[in-house]
Amino acid sequence: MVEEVVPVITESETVTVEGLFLSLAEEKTEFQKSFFYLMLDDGTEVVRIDLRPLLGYSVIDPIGKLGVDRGMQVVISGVMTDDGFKIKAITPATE
Amino acid sequence: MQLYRPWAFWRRVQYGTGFGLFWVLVFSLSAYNLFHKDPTCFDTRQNGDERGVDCGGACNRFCAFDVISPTVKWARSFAVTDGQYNAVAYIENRNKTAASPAVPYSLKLYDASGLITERTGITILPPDSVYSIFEGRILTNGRVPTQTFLELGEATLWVPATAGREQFTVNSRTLTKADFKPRLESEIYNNALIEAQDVEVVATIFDARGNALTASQTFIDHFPARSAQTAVFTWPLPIAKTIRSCEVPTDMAVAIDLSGSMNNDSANPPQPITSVIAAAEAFTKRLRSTDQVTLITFATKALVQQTLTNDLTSVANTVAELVIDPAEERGSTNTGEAIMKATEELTGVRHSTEARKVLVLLTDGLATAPDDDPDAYALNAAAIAKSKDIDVFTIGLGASVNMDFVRKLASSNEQAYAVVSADQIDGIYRTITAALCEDGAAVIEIIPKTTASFNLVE
Repeated sequence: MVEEVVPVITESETVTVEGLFLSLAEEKTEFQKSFFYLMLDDGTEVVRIDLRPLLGYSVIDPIGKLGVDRGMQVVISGVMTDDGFKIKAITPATE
Repeated sequence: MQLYRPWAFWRRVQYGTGFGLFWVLVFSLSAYNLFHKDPTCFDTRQNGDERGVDCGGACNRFCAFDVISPTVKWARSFAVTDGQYNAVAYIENRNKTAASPAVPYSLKLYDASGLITERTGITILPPDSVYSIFEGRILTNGRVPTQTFLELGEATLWVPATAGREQFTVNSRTLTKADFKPRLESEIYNNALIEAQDVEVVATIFDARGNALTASQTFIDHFPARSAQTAVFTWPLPIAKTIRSCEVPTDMAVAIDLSGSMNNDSANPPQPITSVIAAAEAFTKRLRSTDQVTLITFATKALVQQTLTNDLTSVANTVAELVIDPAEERGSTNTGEAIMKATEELTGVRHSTEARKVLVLLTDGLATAPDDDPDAYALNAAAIAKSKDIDVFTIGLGASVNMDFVRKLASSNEQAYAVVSADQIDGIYRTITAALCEDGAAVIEIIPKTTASFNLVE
């Protein structure tokens, strides 16, 4: 008899995604607190990345704090959690 | 003539009276049921065992006159970017169990000309501690606030609450990129058995004397019971120069005057240079492992003896081996070039964005190079350094030192030190070390605030 193997995730795995930094989208929580999503075109689809782990709820100078600007090719690294992708860092992509 | 009533008459009177009383009773009961209401805690009148209108007694609400009014501890505003300020105030609620979900307030910013602007709002106030009120992005139209005041309105609703500040524990505080785009990450633990929602968290950074230096605010939407969450605070401009906290590392430029006048006493060993080297060596060794140091010497020309490095022992050894070039016995003192070299190094590729930039310059106080107005050249170099957020400390050595010039080089008069005898130099370097890294009881205070423990049920 073959025993079924159930994969168990014991630690967060780092995920890296590279793409074109399209824009920032300002959103509000259910408690009306503003924060930003980053819209990233990874070549297949446009994904929304929650920037709260990097910026908190600050809406002052988000581009300056990120260190990358719209139109740039960027590399985003983070981890997958129960609540989804959690960004850890964003850097310009090297050629 | 005696009035005679037959017994039947009296019987009818009895029946009639009984009938009438019956209907009076029926109508009375109907009216009572129709119009009477039991006392409640929201009938806008004082009844039952209430101590005031709908408060006290069996009611959930505390009466306003039974609670101690909150008091304002302090209020300050901090520049965030040009023309934008954050304002923070601390208020104390000394009631052990009484909390208010709505305390009206007004934050006012003033300069010498009067009121600049006013922000009004409503805050929650948990019990039994000090809590912060934060207002961000206050536009001042170029005016610089010199005073900030908070006025509290009267809170009309006070309810029991089971937890105050003890509901949360701040497990860690990590400040990064303090000299670039500062980011403070803090892990907070919710000790309660219930989820908290819409938790407002304010981080305030103090100096060792308890003066607030800057503040930021963030939120945690959903904070599950018995769990840890990360709160992230950011600032758009460097705060490393503002915070003389041990939590911020230092990139240090040590600039030492090696002109001929530094050994002009004909003693063996020569003074004051021997004492200067010993004190600078000890100063370098006192820096922390997270600090970096660069060594610059100057006479007719300035030389970078050691670029920024965290190998403090190596730099200390280099300092110990410094000697005055015999050719400099009749040379000049190029203070300005030393400041320029220090600025280049402190703002170059080796500078850590985590660290504040500091220049400690020791000179006998007479700039004599370059030939064309050396004082002006040095002062201009110092102005450039200060404009790049370099904190400049100066030590003027000797009885003939031009202290007016030395003070102008420094970031402030308090950061310019006059040393008459060589044996005082070590003490001055120690004073600078203490000024750079102030240990304080409350360096970074993080205060979460939520209504999760409030009993809002009527």
